[in-house]
Amino acid sequence: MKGYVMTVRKNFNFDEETAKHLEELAKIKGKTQTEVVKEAVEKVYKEVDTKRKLAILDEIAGSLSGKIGDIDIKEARRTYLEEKYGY
Amino acid sequence: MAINLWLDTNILLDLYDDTRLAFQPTSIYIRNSIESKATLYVNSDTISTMFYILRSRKKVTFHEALTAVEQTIQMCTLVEINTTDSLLAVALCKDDALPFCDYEDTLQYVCAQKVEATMIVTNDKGFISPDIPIQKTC
Repeated sequence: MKGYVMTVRKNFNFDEETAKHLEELAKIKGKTQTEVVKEAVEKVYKEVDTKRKLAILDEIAGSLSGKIGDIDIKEARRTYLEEKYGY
Repeated sequence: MAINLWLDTNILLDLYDDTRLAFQPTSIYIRNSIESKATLYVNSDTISTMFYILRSRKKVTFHEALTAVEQTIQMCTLVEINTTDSLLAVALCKDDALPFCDYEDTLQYVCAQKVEATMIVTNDKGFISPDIPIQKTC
């Protein structure tokens, strides 16, 4: 899904030390302050998102034990639709 | 490089029932993929199919089937199917020179292309994908 990426303007209030650190990081990395903030946010987001998805996977895993079985998926779908719509 | 995995319905069902033959390898594969920061994609048709199949099993209650839909949408990125996708899937199936013969699978293939999937994960031996590699879990 390539294409134009829309940007959104956000205003933040940092304490002096954090603002200085952001400036230093941008200089060291040769990036803009926006890029430094973006990288930091995305890094934390990925960690949080991964933990959230793993927790959902734990909920899912085996939660319908013995209730599905090794079925023919297309046949099961057909049977359900036949019963639902009566054709 | 981003890892974009397209999940077929059978893979989702594998995760729910530990008596299915592919439960263990599929669970390990999906866990490793999430830990590797892969994005898991499904389309809205797959979600409906999963719901139909779960409801066709007498032991699965209506609420259990709904919960499965909810959990899958939370774990995966849901891809919408638009007019262009549907018509492209029809065109591919109509073309006798091409191997596509199942509308549902072809629609998944079209959507997998749309999200630039690096792999289609399915244990369906008949799944047709001329260019996107297919990954089986068992």
